[in-house]
This record gives sequence, structure tokens and C-alpha cells, in this order.
Amino acid sequence: MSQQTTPAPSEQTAEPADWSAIWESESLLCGWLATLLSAELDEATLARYRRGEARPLLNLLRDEHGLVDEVARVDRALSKLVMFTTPQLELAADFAELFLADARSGAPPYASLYADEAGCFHGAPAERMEARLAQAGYVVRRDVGEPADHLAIMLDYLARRLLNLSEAKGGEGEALRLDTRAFLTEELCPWLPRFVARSAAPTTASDLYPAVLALTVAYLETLSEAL
Amino acid sequence: MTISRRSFLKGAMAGSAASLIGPGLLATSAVAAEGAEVELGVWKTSGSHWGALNALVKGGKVAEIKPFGADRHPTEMLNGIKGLIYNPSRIRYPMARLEWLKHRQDADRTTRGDNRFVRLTWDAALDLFHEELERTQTDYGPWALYAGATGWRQTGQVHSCGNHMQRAVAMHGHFVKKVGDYSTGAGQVILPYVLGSTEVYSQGTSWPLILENSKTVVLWANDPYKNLQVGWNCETHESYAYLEQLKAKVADGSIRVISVDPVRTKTHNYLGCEQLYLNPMTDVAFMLAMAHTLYNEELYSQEFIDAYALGFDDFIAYVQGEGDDGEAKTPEWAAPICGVDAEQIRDFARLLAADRTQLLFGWAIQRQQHGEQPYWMGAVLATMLGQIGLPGGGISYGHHYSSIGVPSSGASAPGAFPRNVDAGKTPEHDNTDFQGAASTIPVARWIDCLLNPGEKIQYNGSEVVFPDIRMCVFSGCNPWHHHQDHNRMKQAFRKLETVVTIDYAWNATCRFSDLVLPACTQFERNDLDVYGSYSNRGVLAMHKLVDPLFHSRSDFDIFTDLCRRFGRDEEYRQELDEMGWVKKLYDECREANTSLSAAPGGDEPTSSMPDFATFWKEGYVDFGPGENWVRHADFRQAPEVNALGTPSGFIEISSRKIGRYEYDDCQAHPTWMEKAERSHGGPGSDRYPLWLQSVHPDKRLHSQMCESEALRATYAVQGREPIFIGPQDAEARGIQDGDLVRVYNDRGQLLAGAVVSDDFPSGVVRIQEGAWYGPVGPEIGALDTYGDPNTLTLDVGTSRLAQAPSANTCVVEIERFEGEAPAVTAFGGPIMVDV
Repeated sequence: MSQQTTPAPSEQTAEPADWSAIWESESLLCGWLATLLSAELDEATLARYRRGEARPLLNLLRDEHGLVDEVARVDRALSKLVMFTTPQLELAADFAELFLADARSGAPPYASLYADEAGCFHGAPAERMEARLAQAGYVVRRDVGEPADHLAIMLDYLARRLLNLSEAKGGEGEALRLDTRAFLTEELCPWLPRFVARSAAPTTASDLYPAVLALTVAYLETLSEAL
Repeated sequence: MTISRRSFLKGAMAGSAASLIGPGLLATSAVAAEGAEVELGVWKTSGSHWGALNALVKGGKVAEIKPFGADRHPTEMLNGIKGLIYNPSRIRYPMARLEWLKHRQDADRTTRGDNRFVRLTWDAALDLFHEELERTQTDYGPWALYAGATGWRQTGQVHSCGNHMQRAVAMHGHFVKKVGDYSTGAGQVILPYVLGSTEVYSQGTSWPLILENSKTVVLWANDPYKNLQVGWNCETHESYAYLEQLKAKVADGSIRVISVDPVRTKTHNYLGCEQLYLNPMTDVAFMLAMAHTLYNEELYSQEFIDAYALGFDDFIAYVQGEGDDGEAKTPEWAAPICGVDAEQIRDFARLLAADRTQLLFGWAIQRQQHGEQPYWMGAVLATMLGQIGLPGGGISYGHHYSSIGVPSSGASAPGAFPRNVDAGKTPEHDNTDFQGAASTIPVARWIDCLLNPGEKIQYNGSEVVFPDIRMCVFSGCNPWHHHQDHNRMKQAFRKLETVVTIDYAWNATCRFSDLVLPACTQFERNDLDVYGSYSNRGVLAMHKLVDPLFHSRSDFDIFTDLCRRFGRDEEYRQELDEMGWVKKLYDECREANTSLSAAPGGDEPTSSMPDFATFWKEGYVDFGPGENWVRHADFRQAPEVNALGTPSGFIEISSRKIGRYEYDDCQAHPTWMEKAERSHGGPGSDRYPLWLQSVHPDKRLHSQMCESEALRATYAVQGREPIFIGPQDAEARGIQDGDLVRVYNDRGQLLAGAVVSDDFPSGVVRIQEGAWYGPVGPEIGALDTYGDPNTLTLDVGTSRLAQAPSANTCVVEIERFEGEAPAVTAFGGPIMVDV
């Protein structure tokens, strides 16, 4: 088992790693990022973010994963929302511009558009993801209306695998860990850099979503190293 | 490390951060992953404008498309269908323009086309749609709502999107409608005066009779080999078998085919036929000189004219120089205008009179200023030749369209979902007061209407007062593709308070809209269609291949839901669901095709059509081939009994009725009139010497399939729409094949990719219509990055008679583009320019 490469500054003694707690908390981080990237923020939820309720999640990323700059960027973007008269609408428009509009512009978060030369929806990456889900006993909820290679769905799946990993023992856990790492390195990480590069093209009103994307990609890199 | 993790978990679980994590997007699957059974997939049948097909659906995805077995000449565009379903330009969710959402009718409209959008739920989107209809009917009236525009839609009789939108909107209130269309606007107005029917959408003389009887076939500005790839309903491509036979007859010399066209067309190159070049837009002068020859050399049929036509004397007086202009329309007169030798004009007239001649006109020629004239003049020539109503003689205006000329089976085709309000029902807002304005406008004058409400124009003998339109609804219709002069359109769109568009791809019309609703493609719903718009060869099942992608919905669902907002959804769908409608239309068709059985002992009515369940399973009912037929034969045989629909019942070479309108741009008989701009020595040619023709594309259906990367890869040049240019003009401008060029005139500018081709003579360039508009910004005059020819075209009516589009009256100049070219924006966006 590999250890985290960026030790927490507060680490004092070499206690045995509580991998169950680690994987469980990673699962929460993935689930949180999946949520952020799956839909726009409504007024109530945005207010909670602005009140700082995401602090524990951001702190974990900053302190345990060493993502100081990325987290700071998110914090800055949140604080700058004060400049908008209708921040929720502006963020919804940013979200739409990046992820929801004509998929040739912005950064629509579907692996098929980046991994496949054809660049159409429902490509081979989506088929592979469907197979993965099926094998783990999942389907995409019907009301979601998205193909399985949507980044949020892939993060959601990852979150569940990490939760399973936190509960797994011995050999079963090892196999699960390897498979989860393979998923990250083969299905997610390859297309994310192009995805983030695309997201820089439109000029969003707020830096929040670009910051969240940068945070997500950096986080997944540290996660793949940890696995 | 351990301490902070545990405390994070305890803290996160206890605190509110945990609830920032949603319930997730996955559900457990009750079904274990299937093995090989799912892998094999299921073959389904469907159809499209591009033809019928069989599709392999595996794991909920369209894996493969194959042409339908019965289609002997499938088009390569079938290769674009998978890419159409899964295209990145699909509209995935209902969206609203942010600026409009915030300020509605007070929103800044100058940024339309270059805007930020937000996603809406379907409920929110339909509530807004309903609210705007309410506001428009209440604060204004029916005169303020234009929901009449129609387009080529997708195929399928249940899900015909224009019917759904117009029925639903009509159940809510009255609205401004349109008359005419962009395909045959001038032709369909003039020809009833001359030949008694619109002609353009009518079955024509059967191909076998043309092949058997014609000695000369004239393709007048007609490219059937290109245009027959697509059809209004499911295209059968049956015409191609006949074009093959025609090719063989050209090769063995038994039929002469002459393509009268400045350009060597796809058909010309396929058939290996002859070309008669003439200067663009000069066909009427040419035909008048032909009439002069036929008359003065006594090659015309006075007997036919005496028996079947009126108004020859006034017309021929004009030709002879006895009219007001005193100019005899001799070949010598026509030669410098047309760029054709006088003797060649004479020879051509003599050729057509020498033996059985079939005239086949295309539609592009009437899409020019005074577009009524070439069609009228063609009919006059055919009348003078005296072969109308004979097999392989006379004139057709539709043999390049939807397999007209393939004999009709005689079977009844299925009906469609209704377009109108049910009998006995009235709309929610039953206000029919258009406040003195017209309730119907000529379709191609709608931008004039937006810009000049209250203005009075003449149309087809009547006065039309432009209504003050504030809201538009477009369904499966892309006016930002088919209407002329996009910069003028930008100006006009600033007038509109609300624009609602229902479509499946992010074309320019969507980007200029306020509310965009995602319809699904025809492959995501069940339907049925006639196989062969004119041959009525059969009835085709259109099995749903996959469920609607993303959050798209069928038009049927969308508009049922809209009607729910005013409590009339059950009435809207007549209490039937989708399959209920498919079955209803099939059963009604089966009933209509009932006849007394010829079987022994049978005097019970039977139908050749199986029951619905059998039909749906097998996917197709074949009615068999039809019988040969000659257009106008019944009129020729008995003109009094089978009178034409003209005022007199006869062919009207001159029209008293039109004469009474006193239109200087469409007079009592065909006349030669100079155009507002014309190449080859015509007006404006000193500044803009190149004629831009914007014909129907070879690898699209108008703008449909432009979004297909796979197809564009086969024709785009440097990612832009190709512009075809002759070697002489290219060399003069230092342009090489593959260069990026700027094409411009006073109305606009665009980037295109040069294709240097011998098929194009000096002074003629071509950009195919349907190229997606993608300007660099919302400003008037912004450079179009992809190459939509309607950025440059002239927006005037053909004449006061038809007020139809004049897209092919357009002159331009071209230069090599130097420097950094802006990226193509046609397939991306909406784009944010600045915050």
C-alpha cells in the first residue's frame, strides 16, 4: 500500500494509517465534487457556500492533499461573488456556458467528447462506463438523463468505490483498490487535461467553476497517487 | 493524519458540510449485467428525408445504420445519421437567454445571437412559454404573434413538428400565418395563372414515358442527380434507376440531354450530357429570343395554341417589337445579354421544335428577382412547341424533387397529426381582430414586416398591411439558415420581444432565440411515414431506435405539456398517446386502401395492408409500382371538360388578371427585366463581378446535417464551407485551391474555403445554402466564420406578384484571406464576448 506523498504538516508520530477513515473521507470528497459538477447551485445552497459551510471539505483538500493554491482560488472566487447583483443566475449561466450549451464550445464534461476521435456523445468511453456500472450493480438514475461518461457520474461511481474500499478487508480490498486506481488512471485522468484546457476558452463571469475544475483535476491526481 | 481524518469525518458528518453532498446520480440495478444476449442487439426499421434504413441497436445505443433493402440507390448521407443523433450540437436541456430571463420584454436585444443562456426545468420553460403567449395575446393581440413559419422538419406523420406547434398555439390563440415557402415561392404563385396549378409539387409525366418518347430532354437550371438524394417524406430514390437509363440513352445517342446552365452540374457530369452555357439570370431573354425564332421560322404549333391557349397575340407582339419598348426580341438582341451566339439560340429553338422534347425546370431559377418570369416563359415555350400533354413532351417543374416522375401506386398515404384546432373548438383567446393588419403575410417578407410594421405592400393582386409582430415561435424551422441578408435580420430581431425555438441542434436560429426547447430526433420516437412522397410506394414503420437523449422530448410531449397549462392537453392529443396515434393513422390509411376483394367468393371489402401489429413487426407494407401517367394529358384530350385552373380554363400565355394588377415588375405576359444586380455586364458588376449562386447542397438537406463532422470532413475546406470558383477567376485573384477566402459585398462578408473547379465559368461562384451561420459577434456586418451565403444575399421580393425570395440575385467579390483567421463559431456557442 502506498502512503500519501504529501504528509500533513501537523503529523507528529508515525501512527499506522487509518485507511478506512482515509477512503471514507475521500469518498465524501468525490461525492461533493460530483454534486458540484452535476447541477447548478440554487439560491439556498449558494448561500450556504458563501457562509463557509464547505470549509471542512476545502480544508481537507488544502491540508491533507496539499492543494493550497487550488483551494485558495476557490475561496477567492466565492468571496468575489459579492460583486454580482444576481450571483446565482450568473453562476448558472457560467455553468451552462461551460457544461450545458452546444458541446462544441465550453467544456462539456463527457469523456466521449475528448477520448474519442469522433467526438460525439455516447462513444466507447460511455459504453465502458455503463459496463462498469452494471458490473458494480448500478445504473444511472433515469431522471438524470445523462450518459454514463458524464464527469459527475464518474465521480459518483468513484465515491461509491472508495466507500466500498473503506469497508473492505484483506485481499478483496486490495483488488478493489487496484481496480479503483485503474479506473482513475485509465478512464478519468486521460481526458481531464483536455477538458480543463477547453474550460479556459469561454470567459465566465465568475472564476468559481474554472477553479472547481482545477481543484478537481489536481485532487484526482493526488488520489490516484494515494491508491 | 489519522486524527485529522477522524475529526474531519466526525465534524463533516455532524455538521452541515455533509448535506452539500447530494444523494448521487446512480441507482442500484435490479438486473444483473447480461451476457451475450444484450450484445447481439436488435435490428429496427426507420426512415428519414435521406431514405429508409435499418438500424442495429445494442445496449441502448445505435450501433450501425444500413440502407433499407428496397432502396437500390441509397445516399451516402445515410452515413451522417449516427453522427446526427449523437452530435455535440444537440440541444440537451431547455435553455433561456439570461438577459431575457432577467428582463423579458425589456431585455437588451442587441446582444441576441451572442449571449449567455441558463438551463431551465421543463416545467419552468413551458410556464414561461405559456406566460409569453398569454402576455402577447392579452397586452397585444393575435397580430403580434408570428407562429406560421415552417421548415423541412424531420419525417414522420405523427410527429410532424410544425403541426404540433401550430395546433397547440392555435388552441391558445390566433396568430399571424404565412403563405408560400422558400423552395418555390415565385413558381407556386405564377403557375396557377398560366397552367392552372402550382405545378411544382405535382406528380409529373412518368420517367418510363420520357425515356421511351423524348428525343430531347432539357434540364433547365436543374440538377436532379444532386437533389433527388433527399425527399419530403421517406425518400425511395426510385428516380435514380431512371437517371441510370437516361445516362445509357445519352451514351447510345438515342436521347440528347442538354443542361441549360452556366455551371457544369453534378447531373451533367453524371449523364455525360451536353451543356448550353448562358449568363446567369438571363434565361428569360434567351427564351424570348427562342420564341422569336419559333415564331418567325414557323416552327411553333399554331394549332395547339388555337385549341389550348389564350393571350398569344399580345405576347408575340412584344416579342416582335410591337410592344411598348419597341424592341424586337431577336437572337441578336439576346446574344450580348445572354453571352450566347445568336445562331446558337436559333439552333436550340429549332432543336426543341424538331422532335419530342421534355422540358425539366429546376427550382433555383425562380429564386431570383422576377423569378416568376423564367417559369412563365418556360410554359410559353412549351405551349409554342405544342407538346404539352404528350408523353415525353411538355414541361415539368418538379422532376428533381422527391421522386416526382416515378409512377404513383395509386394507394392512399397515411394522414398526419392535425395542424388545426378540432372542429367546434375555439382557442383560449378567441380574438381575431388583427387591427387592420394582415393575418397572413408572404413568407419571405417577414423581415420587412418586422422592420416596417404598418407598411402596405402588394401581393398577388391584394394589399397586405404588415402587422406589428412582437413574438415568434419556430419549430423545426431554421429561418437563420433560409432567409436572406443576415445583417438585415440582425436589425429586425432587435424588434422582437420574445423568440421561442423548438429544435434538436444549436443552429443559428437557436442562438438568436430567447427560449430554446430541445426536441428529440425522429430516431428517438415511434412514427410511420409514406415511403415515396409521390410514388406512394408503401408505408414505413419508424421504430424508435433509442430513448430521447438527455432531456430532449418529442414535439408531441412538449406541446401536450404546453396545452396542460391551459387545461386542454387531453383535447390536444385527442386522448391518444404516441402509439395510439401511430396505430390510428395506420388504421385510417388501411381503411382508405380498402377495396372489394378480387379473391374468389370475396365481396367483402379487404385491404392489401396487414393489421397494425403485423405491420409494426414487419416494418413495411409495399403497395407495388404504379402505372405510367402523362401530365396534362387529360387537358390535351378534352380541354373543356378537363379545364385548367386558370381564370379561362386554358393556358394563359398572357394573363389579363395579372395585367389588371398593373405591377411594373410582373406584367400581363412574360417580359425581360434587368435585375437590381447582375454579373456579366449587368448592374453592379463593375464593383462585384461574380454571381453567387446558393444552390441546394450536395451533402446536406438544406441546413440539416451541417453539424455532422463526418460529412463536413468530406467537403469543408480549412473547416469552412467550400466556395466553388473557376480557374480563370481564381488565378486573377491569386487564389489557389484550398485557400481561405473572404467573400463580400455591400451587405456582408464571410469566410469560405476555395475549391477551384473547371465546372465553373468566369463570373460564377457557388456556395451551397444550409451552411451554418457563425458570425464573430452580434454587430451588424460581423464576419461570418463558416460561410453562410445568406450573409450576402439580397432580401427583396421577386415582384409584387409573389413577393418570394430572390436569393440567387446576388453579386460578390472574393479575395484571398491573409492573416489569422477567426475560429469557426457556427458549431459552438452561445459565446460570451465580455461580462
